[in-house]
Amino acid sequence: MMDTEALAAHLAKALDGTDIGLLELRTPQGTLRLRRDGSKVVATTASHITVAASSVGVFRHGHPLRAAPLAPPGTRVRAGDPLGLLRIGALLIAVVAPRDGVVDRMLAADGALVGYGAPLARLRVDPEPPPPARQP
Amino acid sequence: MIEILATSGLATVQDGGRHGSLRYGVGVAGAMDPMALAAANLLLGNEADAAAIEIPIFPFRVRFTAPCGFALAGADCAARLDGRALLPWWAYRAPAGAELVLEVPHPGACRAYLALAGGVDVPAVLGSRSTQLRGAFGGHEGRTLRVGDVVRAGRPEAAVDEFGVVPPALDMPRTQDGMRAIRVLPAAEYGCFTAASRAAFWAGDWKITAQSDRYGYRLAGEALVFERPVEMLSHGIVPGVIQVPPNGQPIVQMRDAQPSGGYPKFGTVIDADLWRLGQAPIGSRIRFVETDWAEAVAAGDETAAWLAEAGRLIGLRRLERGA
Repeated sequence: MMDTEALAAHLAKALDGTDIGLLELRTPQGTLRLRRDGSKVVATTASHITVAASSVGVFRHGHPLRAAPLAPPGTRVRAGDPLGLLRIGALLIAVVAPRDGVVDRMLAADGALVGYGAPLARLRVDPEPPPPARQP
Repeated sequence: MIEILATSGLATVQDGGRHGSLRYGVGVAGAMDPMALAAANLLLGNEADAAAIEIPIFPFRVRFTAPCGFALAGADCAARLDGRALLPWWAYRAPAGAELVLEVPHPGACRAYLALAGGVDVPAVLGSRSTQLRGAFGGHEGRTLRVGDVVRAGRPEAAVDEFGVVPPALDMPRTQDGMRAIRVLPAAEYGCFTAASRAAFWAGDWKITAQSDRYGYRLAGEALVFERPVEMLSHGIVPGVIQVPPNGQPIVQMRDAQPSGGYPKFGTVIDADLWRLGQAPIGSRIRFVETDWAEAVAAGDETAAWLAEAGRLIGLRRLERGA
């Protein structure tokens, strides 16, 4: 399979001369988003990030006192919002969204014993805002 | 510092209790759920029995007038801090001006605890910061909190890491037929009741009636019948004592109990289960389970061990996070 840059260039060429304003391609490697900017087609780097366990523990989709999961797939979250919890003995640690986005899916089951670095949840993150223009 | 913006009544400052003053006729007071009090305090690095606010009626709303660490434990009140949904049994940092709202709790528990970094700063009276409502001393001016009251935190600037602790009732569940199971030691006048009443006490459900509060829980169930009339002089009693007035409907003495009483004593709720009873909502049903001295002591050891282990893990976490 061609790399992302080549794929983006290929798709941008194919989009030229059409009236398609936005194309989003989801692949296992992430999401590629092409947007028309005036006459040019530009790739924006919308993609997925994987949130990993910061410690060994039991992954919980919700608080043990509550039936509802904290952030089921499709939930829009802000950076810092809890996606799930890690139980370490009597402690509960929040597994938080590192950036704003939408919960794609959970990668570890509710109640699963997970190791350090284990993938826990996948987040479709919003594109980074463009860097501020440099002052001359 | 927090300012009370809305209270539905009966919220008080409570700590681990005013022990050692029964001989002067001063009751122990203190948190109805000392496990929740301890958990909330430990999350903030406070002493486990530091003073916090006990909230039995909702909604309850406060504003932080300065940045302050706080922790919630006890009943899960779907709390929000400036609209942000909070988790129960969790420590948080509040910025200056933030508003904390506690709503009517999920069923299953009835009292919430709001602990502040460094503990609630009120003067200690007879060695405790608990509100003694009967004597109108201790706590915040010896009374329940009102709108407009300002309550100070001992160390509002203390570093706080945001994390939580598993509610101890989930780690140490005790239920029978889906109801809270409360262990009881038979007391001095146990033998004065008919055998049928004694059997019914352990076998039946007991409803927490609306006439239940920090002073005592009045229960409703199959009336307990005396074998022969019992007349007694007033004698010393402690929280947990189950008295039976002539109508046969028992009363469990709770934290604000008078230090003496004259009704016959059927049994005593063991100290290690008083926190479970303290969270039983009005209208809920409970069961009593007969226990003995050795089991009561072991139960006390179990709750103490749970707190020690939770405290150890919380301490490690706070150290690791520089809190």
